[in-house]
Amino acid sequence: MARAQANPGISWRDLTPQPLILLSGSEQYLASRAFELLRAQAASREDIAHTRLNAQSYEPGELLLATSASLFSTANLVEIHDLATMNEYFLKDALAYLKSPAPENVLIMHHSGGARGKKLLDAVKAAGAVLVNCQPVKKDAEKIEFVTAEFKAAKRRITNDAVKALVAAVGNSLAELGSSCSQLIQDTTGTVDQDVVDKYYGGRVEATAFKVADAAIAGNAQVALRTLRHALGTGTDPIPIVATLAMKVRQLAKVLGVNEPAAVLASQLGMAPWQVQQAQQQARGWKRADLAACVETIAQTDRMVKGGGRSPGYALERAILFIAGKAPRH
Amino acid sequence: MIRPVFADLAGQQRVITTLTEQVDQGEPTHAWLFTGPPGSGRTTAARAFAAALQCTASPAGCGTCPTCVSVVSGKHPDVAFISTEKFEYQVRDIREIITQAQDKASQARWRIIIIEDADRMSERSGNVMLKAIEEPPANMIWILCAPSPADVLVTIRSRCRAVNLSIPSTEDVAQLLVRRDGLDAELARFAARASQSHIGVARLLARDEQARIQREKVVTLPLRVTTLPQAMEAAAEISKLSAERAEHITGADLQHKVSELRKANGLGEEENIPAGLRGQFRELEENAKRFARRASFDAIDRTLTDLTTFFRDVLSLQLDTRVELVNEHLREKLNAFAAHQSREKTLSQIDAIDEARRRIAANVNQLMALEALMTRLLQNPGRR
Ligand SMILES: [Zn+2]
Repeated sequence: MARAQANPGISWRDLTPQPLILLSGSEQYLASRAFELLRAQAASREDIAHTRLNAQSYEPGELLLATSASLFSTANLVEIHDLATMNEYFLKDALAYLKSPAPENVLIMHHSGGARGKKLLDAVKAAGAVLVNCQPVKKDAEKIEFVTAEFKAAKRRITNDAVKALVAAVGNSLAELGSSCSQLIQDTTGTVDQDVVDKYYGGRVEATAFKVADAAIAGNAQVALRTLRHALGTGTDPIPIVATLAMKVRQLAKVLGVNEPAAVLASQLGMAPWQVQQAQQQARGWKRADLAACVETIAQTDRMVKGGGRSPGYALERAILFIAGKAPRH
Repeated sequence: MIRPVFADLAGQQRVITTLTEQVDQGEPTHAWLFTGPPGSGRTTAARAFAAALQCTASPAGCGTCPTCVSVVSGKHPDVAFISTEKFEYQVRDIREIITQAQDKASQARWRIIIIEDADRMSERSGNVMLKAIEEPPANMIWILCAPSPADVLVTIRSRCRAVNLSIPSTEDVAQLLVRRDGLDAELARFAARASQSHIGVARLLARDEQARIQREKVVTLPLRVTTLPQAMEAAAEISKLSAERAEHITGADLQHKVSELRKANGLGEEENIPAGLRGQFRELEENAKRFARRASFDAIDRTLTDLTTFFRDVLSLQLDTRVELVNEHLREKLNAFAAHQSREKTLSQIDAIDEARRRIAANVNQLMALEALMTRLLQNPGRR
């Protein structure tokens, strides 16, 4: 007889503010989308204070502080990350809070799995927490469902063939699948069909392109160059790589030094909140003048790969070295 | 005294004299090349010339007889106006035009074909055209129009008589707008200045408030966009606006043409297109796509031209040239802007606009080209 399956929980897409929310599973990307969704919902209210805690580096009393009313707020949104590696202080404070959770607060916790903290998890569930499914997405059917839902949420159409092609091309990582969806949603108009997907992600260009771009803006010229050479050596088209570089630099340039909450920026810029957040993180330490120079270099590079230069590979390498050279030293 | 049919050629006295002489002398050259910058009125000049040639009144070019009226309104059976919506004429298109040229004039003295965009001929189609010009049928007159002689194959150029229209003065353009279109004098002067004497654009600006608002938005961009994130946003907006404009034009146009083609083939709006006709419909769509690219390119080009006027004015102020500014109405703001940067910086900004134009023409992603441009226009890109 098959063992009874534990309840995997609701989809993060259906999440609404609740006093206790438990994100359960090791898919970091789904957890981050759930956190963002709640943050975005909370951002529309002025009386809600937002705190981010880490259960691993937790200091005694932090939870009490984060969950009490203050002069300016009547409710609290408290994010708690890394429950799977929680320390003793957190366990103690959390168990105490669970005895009488405040109904106006929203506590959202992420436990990625493993035995550690079982006692707390049981207590959380017993206190009536909403369980959100953050289990790794492995089946193609689930990935297809994910892509379909992303396009539906953006009120855009994508053909079934295109969904399948996209999953086949970049479905290895859910985070990449997600960012590819938003790239297609932003860069194209009308129905997305297989031709569009092939143009962008044919030959698995995209996964590589993101890796190249991320490494370049992080200042990691070595990784960026190695990845690029491998990609070009296996026949990857350079044009989508330039497009991805441009998209990354564009996102950084739009958020750098702008003091607005991620959720507000997201709606202003037509980016997903998690993209804004990622861009804000990656933009840290960059100077505006340097980023502006990168924007110029990318336009030069696009011209070079489209026939204006002696070799597209050389043009891309030059661009990557330039960007990595401008990146802040951490 | 100027013949009435030439009256709308603002500031082209020299050209009018030449053309009138040709008309009166009665044996006009059979191939002409009319050149002049966009908006200087080359098509209007070609039209007026054709009317005067066909006019039977004395002196010819009365502008009011049925012949003059039908030529000017494009309805005369012996005067054809040809332009393409494609990026370039295909050899096939040119052959079609030449076949048309073989027809005898049906009622008038001359058979005249005016090609409004002779600059859109590739070398191959140009060579086909050349044959026709070299051995014209009797009573056939070709009038080719292009922005500059350099836009036309040397071999064609050398076989045509050249007519170069100059850029009219803003005063000439303003007067034309007042006289012909009955527009307010002050508005006409503003429009003539702001369009830099582009007659078509000037008329649009003077007549259409929306167009004035749109231009003002573009011209004041350098005043409002002062940080990197703003520059990126502005680029996205310009790109989106021009794409929308192009899509709007093409979408409606394509729909119209598709329904015309359906009618011509006796097909109802909902009926399936038979396999034999699909090629024709597909060609319509492909032409529409090409046209959309051109329309979007034209919209961007106009935007870049408007932006350039801002920086040229800044440079005029910095060099203290004391000439009238294109954006005279922004003088105070322009002065303040000019005081905050060097002449070298202004020149580099004008270069950046030219560079963006070249990039877009070279098929660089439009958004990337505009982002690079907007960041280079910032007075201080590092500003927080
Ligand atoms: Zn007449």
